[in-house]
Amino acid sequence: MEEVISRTLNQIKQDNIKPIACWRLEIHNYVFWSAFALMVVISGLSFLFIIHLTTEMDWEVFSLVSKNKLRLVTEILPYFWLLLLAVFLYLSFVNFRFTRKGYRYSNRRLAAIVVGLSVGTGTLAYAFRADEKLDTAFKQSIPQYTLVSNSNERMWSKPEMGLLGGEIAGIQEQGLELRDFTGHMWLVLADEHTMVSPAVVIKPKSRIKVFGQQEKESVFLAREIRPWDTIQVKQFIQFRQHIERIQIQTKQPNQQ
Amino acid sequence: MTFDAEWLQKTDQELVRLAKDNPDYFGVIMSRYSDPLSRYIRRMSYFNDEDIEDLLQEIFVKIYRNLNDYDQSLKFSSWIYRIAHNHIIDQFRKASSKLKTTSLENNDLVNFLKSTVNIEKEIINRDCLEKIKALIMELPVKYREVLILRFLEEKDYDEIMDILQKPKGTVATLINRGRSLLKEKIQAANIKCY
Repeated sequence: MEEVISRTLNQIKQDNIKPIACWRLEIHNYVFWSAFALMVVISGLSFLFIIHLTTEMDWEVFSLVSKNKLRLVTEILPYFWLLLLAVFLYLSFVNFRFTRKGYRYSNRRLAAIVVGLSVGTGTLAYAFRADEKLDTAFKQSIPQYTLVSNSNERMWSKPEMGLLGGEIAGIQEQGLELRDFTGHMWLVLADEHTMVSPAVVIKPKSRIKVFGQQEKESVFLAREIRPWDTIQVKQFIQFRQHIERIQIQTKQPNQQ
Repeated sequence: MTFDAEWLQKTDQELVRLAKDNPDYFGVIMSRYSDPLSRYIRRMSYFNDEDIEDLLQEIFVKIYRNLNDYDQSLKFSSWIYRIAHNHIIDQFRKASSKLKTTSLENNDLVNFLKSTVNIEKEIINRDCLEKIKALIMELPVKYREVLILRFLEEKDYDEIMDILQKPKGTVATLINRGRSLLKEKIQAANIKCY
């Protein structure tokens, strides 16, 4: 072995071999940590959009639909975001293993760290209402974004299940002309049994939800009509409660 | 090759720091680790003495180049075993022919069998050893490497974790599976060592 040591020392001196500079060795580590941070942010954002779509979802629909509830759930799940979350959780997991001490963590512990960081990032962003800001920004800048953003639009685009949503295009004697989210025109019929929410504003360009039954290819019989925006319903309820309070207050002095 | 007595007293960490400016200090590190590393290469591979010496020289140069990458929180021996291990695996990948023989010495093999499959030293005969050597070489590298590190190099689980860069739980699983696999192979081949 003496000879090997002597040969190696000669090689180091003759070839002027030097230890690789620290900064060059650190690049590898920085690259993996930066990639890990980016992946956690992307998986966190995916989780943020899952929360956003879940909270925005029109859960009342499930009380209206009697059959095929499971089918409805499977059709409206935010698959894109779930897939993105799964892919980036996996990539973060693998990436962490390549960091300097990543190998020391057990699979279970590492999975908990990666999931915890992603869920934490998503929840924190949700607390700061980043979902609303990003939703608006993406809608304005990425045309394809609507394909993965509107669970409610997908939910109310199932006339065969009695769910139809869209924008009032016109008002006719027989009923309403409605343009659904694919641009298809419908004639929405109403009869004396049709319940119309007082919060609905029946005028062109007003967006509504119609629960009922598909009669023909482009004809839909309405059983219930609601405004599209839940905020409209909330405002209407608040307004009605306010009126009721005023009425009670005005009655009380009269009774006295 | 002789070194200053004062140099020999220095710890690995001190020598690493000094060797960055003066390669002669690296000579002391090489003198400390040349025997264990050459033994490890021999146990892991089928290389002859000449190949082992060449491989060892390449490994030492690699260690010297990467001195700045040494993480003081690791045992120095774990770190150089890691470099040696990765270099050996690279050589395996480059080698076109399948490994059919092992350089495990009979004494090594007896110790190995005693620790892994509980075969008593006294009852192992020479013919049996040759057959078992072939079986060991049939083990996938991932099992062979942990068994060699654990039972021949006598490294603890933390050291094996740092050398192979695998979680401790994975190391433990590989050791258990490797032992079981070797036992099964010995039974299946109907090898009786007495």
